[in-house]
Amino acid sequence: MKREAAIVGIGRTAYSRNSGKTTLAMAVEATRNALADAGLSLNDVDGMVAFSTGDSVSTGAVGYALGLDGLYFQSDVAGGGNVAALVMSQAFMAVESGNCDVAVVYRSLNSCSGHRFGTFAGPIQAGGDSQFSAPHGYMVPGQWFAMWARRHMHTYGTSHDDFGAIAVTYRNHAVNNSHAMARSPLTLEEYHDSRWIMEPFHIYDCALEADGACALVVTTRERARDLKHRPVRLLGHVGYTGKAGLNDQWDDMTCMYSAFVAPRLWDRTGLAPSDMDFACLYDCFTYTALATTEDFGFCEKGEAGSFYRSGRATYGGDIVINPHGGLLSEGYIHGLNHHVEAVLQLRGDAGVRQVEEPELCLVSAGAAAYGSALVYAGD
Amino acid sequence: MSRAGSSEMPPPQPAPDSHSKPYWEHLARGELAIQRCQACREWQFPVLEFCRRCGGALGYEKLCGEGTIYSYLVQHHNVAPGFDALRPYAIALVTPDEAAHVRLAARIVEAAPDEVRIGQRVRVEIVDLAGGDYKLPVFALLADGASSDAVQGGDPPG
Repeated sequence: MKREAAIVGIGRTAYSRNSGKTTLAMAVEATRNALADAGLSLNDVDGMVAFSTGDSVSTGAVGYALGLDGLYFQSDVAGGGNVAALVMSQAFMAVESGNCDVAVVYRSLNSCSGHRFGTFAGPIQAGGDSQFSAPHGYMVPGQWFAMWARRHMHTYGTSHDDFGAIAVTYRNHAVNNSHAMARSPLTLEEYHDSRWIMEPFHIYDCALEADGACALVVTTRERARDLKHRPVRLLGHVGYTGKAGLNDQWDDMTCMYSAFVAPRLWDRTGLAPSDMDFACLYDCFTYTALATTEDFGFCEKGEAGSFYRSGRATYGGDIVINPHGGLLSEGYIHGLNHHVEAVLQLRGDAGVRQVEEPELCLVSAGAAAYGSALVYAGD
Repeated sequence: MSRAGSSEMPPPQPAPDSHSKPYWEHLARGELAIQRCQACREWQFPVLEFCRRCGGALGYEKLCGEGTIYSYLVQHHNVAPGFDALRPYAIALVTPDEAAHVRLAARIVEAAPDEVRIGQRVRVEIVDLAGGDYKLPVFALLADGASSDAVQGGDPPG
């Protein structure tokens, strides 16, 4: 009989501007919390999956620090937000194939107090593809996405009001999330008055750099029956990497990887955007959320600004997008925190920001030329 | 660890490998050249060891130096060492006339950042890169200004 997997536990640390902790200590804390949430013990864990951009701790080190004698399945994926859905898919595959019985997926980083984009220990020697960009003062991700956003503005007449509508919507959601780092309501006027980082992006267009970790536990659906919470199933996952991730060389910057992922995901799951009760869309920048809201089909191309502005992406509208506030307001735990929110909502444990009786949700990960997405269902 | 530009750090310097070395050597002679397949004639950027379309051998060939702005940004926050005094500065993705599928990222010079527009015609200038012996391509706006989208290629109508 084919094994089916499910998410049975979630855990996290506080999200803060300065954790004062190592990525190892935070990964261990989040993992212990996730196992306690599931009702499993450390000795049940035989698999681990994580991702990093060289800013975190390996699964082997975390397993060792937790006192495990060894791991039967481990995967350390080198990647950024683009793999934040892939790692969940890997854990499901590992459990369903019998490679392991209980897999922990985590992301742990000090993206605020540790290494930050735009800080350097010494003079830079730019090799590889960056030798053609860094000497021009072109070297952080926000700059790539600013190029994409400007092109969308040119093609569709997209405005700063449109980007602002997304920042304001997600912030209003975060007001009801005690785990979010930014919880004061934001007005469109405050958005417009905020400083430029790289035009067309204001500070409120950029994800909130954060220190913290989160973890999810995946095991068999059969075992989930004896555990504490309503399990969450994976209905399908699709990823896409275009142009080897060379974002500048992408043909049409008004669409992202999601223009390739969406039709395949909807086709393979037999579902449609209108079937989703809520979505957690990767939002390293407002433009990422804008382009993917369109690409996944929640509205037409060029209409995302009015879609958010008219309340269609919040409670009482078509779909609640980023009920936790997203990376823009909950914090930049590199997109794995979107999966934690998906589980909270599908279990009915989201408290005052609970979406009404959700059954299905889309979680996306990544931006520009590469990313992935999946659909979760309550069991 | 310091914020970019808060010290006396020079701008990032290229670290060429054997395949990219000719790119920098051409610039040192005042020429902008990128790889082109000697078999199928496809232009290729950034560098590879062989043509990604046909697998053929690559050589460097000069570009005419003119192109069109596909998109651009205006940098305000200090993110790169050596650029503090230049802020705010515009960086553009330029489509060279010869290769509609290629984008070259470079700073726009001799213009205020708010003069830069998508679709504008530009011409390369080759300048010294501070902090070393390298030369760098930058782009200046051409006097005849904006062109239509039709010459840019690559972007479907909205």
